[in-house]
Amino acid sequence: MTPFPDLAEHKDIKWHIKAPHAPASIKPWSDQLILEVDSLARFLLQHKISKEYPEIVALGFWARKANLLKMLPGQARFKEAKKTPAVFHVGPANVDTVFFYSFLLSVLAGNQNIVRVSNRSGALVYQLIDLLQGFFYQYANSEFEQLISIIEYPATSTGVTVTLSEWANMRVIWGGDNSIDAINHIAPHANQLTFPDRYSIALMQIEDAEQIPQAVEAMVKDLLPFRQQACSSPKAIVWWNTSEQLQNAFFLQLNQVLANKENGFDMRDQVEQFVDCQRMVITHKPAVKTIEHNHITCLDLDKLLPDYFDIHTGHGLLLNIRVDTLDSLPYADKLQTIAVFNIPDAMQNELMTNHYVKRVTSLGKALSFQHIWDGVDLCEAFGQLTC
Amino acid sequence: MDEEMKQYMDDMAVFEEKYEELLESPVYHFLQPEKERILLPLLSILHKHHSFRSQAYRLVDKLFKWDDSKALCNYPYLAVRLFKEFELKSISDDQVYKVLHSSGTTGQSSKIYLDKETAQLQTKVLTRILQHWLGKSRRPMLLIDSPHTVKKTGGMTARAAGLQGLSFFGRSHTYALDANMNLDIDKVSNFFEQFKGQSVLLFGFTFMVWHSFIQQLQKHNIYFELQDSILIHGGGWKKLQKASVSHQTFKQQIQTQLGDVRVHDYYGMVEQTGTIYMECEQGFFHCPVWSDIAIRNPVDLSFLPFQQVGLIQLTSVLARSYPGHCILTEDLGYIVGEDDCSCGLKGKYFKVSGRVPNAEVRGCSDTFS
Repeated sequence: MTPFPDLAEHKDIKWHIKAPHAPASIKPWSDQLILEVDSLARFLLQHKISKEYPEIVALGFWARKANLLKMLPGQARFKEAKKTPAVFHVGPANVDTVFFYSFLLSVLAGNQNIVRVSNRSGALVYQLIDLLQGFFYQYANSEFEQLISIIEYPATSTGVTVTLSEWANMRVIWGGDNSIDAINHIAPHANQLTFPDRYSIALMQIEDAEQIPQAVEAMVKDLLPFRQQACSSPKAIVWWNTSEQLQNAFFLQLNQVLANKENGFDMRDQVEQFVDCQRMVITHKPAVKTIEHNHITCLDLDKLLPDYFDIHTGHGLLLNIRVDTLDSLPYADKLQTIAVFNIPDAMQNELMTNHYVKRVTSLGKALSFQHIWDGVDLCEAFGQLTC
Repeated sequence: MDEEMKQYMDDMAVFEEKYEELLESPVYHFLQPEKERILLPLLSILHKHHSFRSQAYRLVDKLFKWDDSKALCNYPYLAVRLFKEFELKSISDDQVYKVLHSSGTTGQSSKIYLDKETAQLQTKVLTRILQHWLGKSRRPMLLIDSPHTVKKTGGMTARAAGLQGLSFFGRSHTYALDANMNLDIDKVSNFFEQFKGQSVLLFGFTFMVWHSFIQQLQKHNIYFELQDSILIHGGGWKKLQKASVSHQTFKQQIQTQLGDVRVHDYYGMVEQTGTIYMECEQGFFHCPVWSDIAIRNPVDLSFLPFQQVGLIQLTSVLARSYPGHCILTEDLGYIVGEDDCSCGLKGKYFKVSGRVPNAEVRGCSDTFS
């Protein structure tokens, strides 16, 4: 077992959850672990608080046994470590629940985990911590409980970051370029998974008006969570083989649906949309065809370059272009997900094989967590740790 | 290019001529249609001027589909936040005479580039507006601030600019607060004693007037009996709203502590320094002859009718050295009416109801802090 890090000298830390004792070696993806994570899933889904947070429902749904088994890595890949490998996770303050998925995968791999949450964390983080505490209270002495600790401390306490980084066999940093730079500066780590800034787009084809409601529903699903600010939220629509009339009809319906959503884009977002558009034309001077301000803002451009996404802050702005060929997409290292609607399989394959796109998924599922994230197979990465 | 340049010079000559006339016009005299008739040609030239001189404005212009000269507030407008992020100016670097900074305590501050001409214009117009309310005589003046606010070196903050600008309208200037922003009760008492029975002018920022002046007097049970005096304050109600202080409480408490004082709030911002919107005795802000207001629906940016709350858009023909002649603020307000305020002033009059809250920041990208 790996001894627990000694943080006694640090005053400004708060343990939300602290593993009762350092675990003995735990078998990765054991029936017991899968069962326990499945119990957590049921606990989350049954809890009344979940009704207020669709993000928690999605997490619970994902963590069910039936879904976990789909991710089960080939047993041969696992070396059974003599000691329990230690993983230090740094989550972003504006939580994307995504880091919760990654540490669950690390738990399933039998690693001991410490998750750092920021003191600027939003309500959802604390809600999840509360739920986890409630779960451990009900299911005391689980294997799971030995593998998870959650700590909160300010980034200025660099000593804590150093100690936890030294303790860990692997470090995982969510939160984009700025966070990665800042943490690497405090304490470099030889073995780490980082999730830098990314942007995502939608590639769509609408052939007749009957397809529009389905397309709108799927787009809303990908657009609204995290106010379009997640790395997988589509920031632009690339139209293929779709008449201008159908594009307009799509936006009309999209705005109508958003107008009736309780948690739709509001005045705060609309101000950001407007500011983003002006910022965009001053900075990148794109050729603007039209601009339509509504519940979302649609900025119709002649072409779409990767740089444009630096300016895009989410909040319901959709850049819009038409292409004849897949060569005109804004490919770049920072392009993460292409969410497709009614795009032939052959073209989807072409995106992956010829253009090396990290992730192609159906529109409406852009934000569903997949264990292969940003091109990294997390099950494999967490499973190969030795110490 | 030569043709274009010649046209531009001709336009600017016309502009100067009409401008002189406008500067001498009475501040709140024209009915709205007449006012628009006077301002439109000026604004149209100003639009060409900024398109010619400011690349940023030219680029943003492309985001607007609009037809020239239909209405004052139809001209392309910059988001006020852009002044925080870009150097927006319609003059060359060597023409920069003064840079104004907003005094925002959080985040970046706006930078407003003035040439000598624009700076003088702003002073002139501010004078015209305030003389309407104060007359030409200079009263003994108590500034509810610290002398250090003005003395601080570096860029000029809007607060310092406000204090300096307003000082012109008083004499025997006395600062009510010390270097630590604490009320100097002896100094204030001496001031009121010295000018007993005379009309005095008080000026300060709304929150400081309340927090550092009125509340302190209240706490120490100090009352004065001023006569026929005037308090001008501005800078926003955000902090007072948080402390649940209503406009009515504010005015009442001032009169309780100080006696016979007329209280005037004003609305204004560093992006349109000089143009201030003074509050009349009915409690409404009034547009001076050089400027106009419109309210836009935040959803689709269409104009909203009177009485409906939306984003405040301001137009002013004074912004010449920087493209701030049409700006969309992040303040919320509504137009109460036009030409028919019972105070007798003409043009549009309005209320400010707050500010759009900051948008929620979520998502994967974050700073480690």
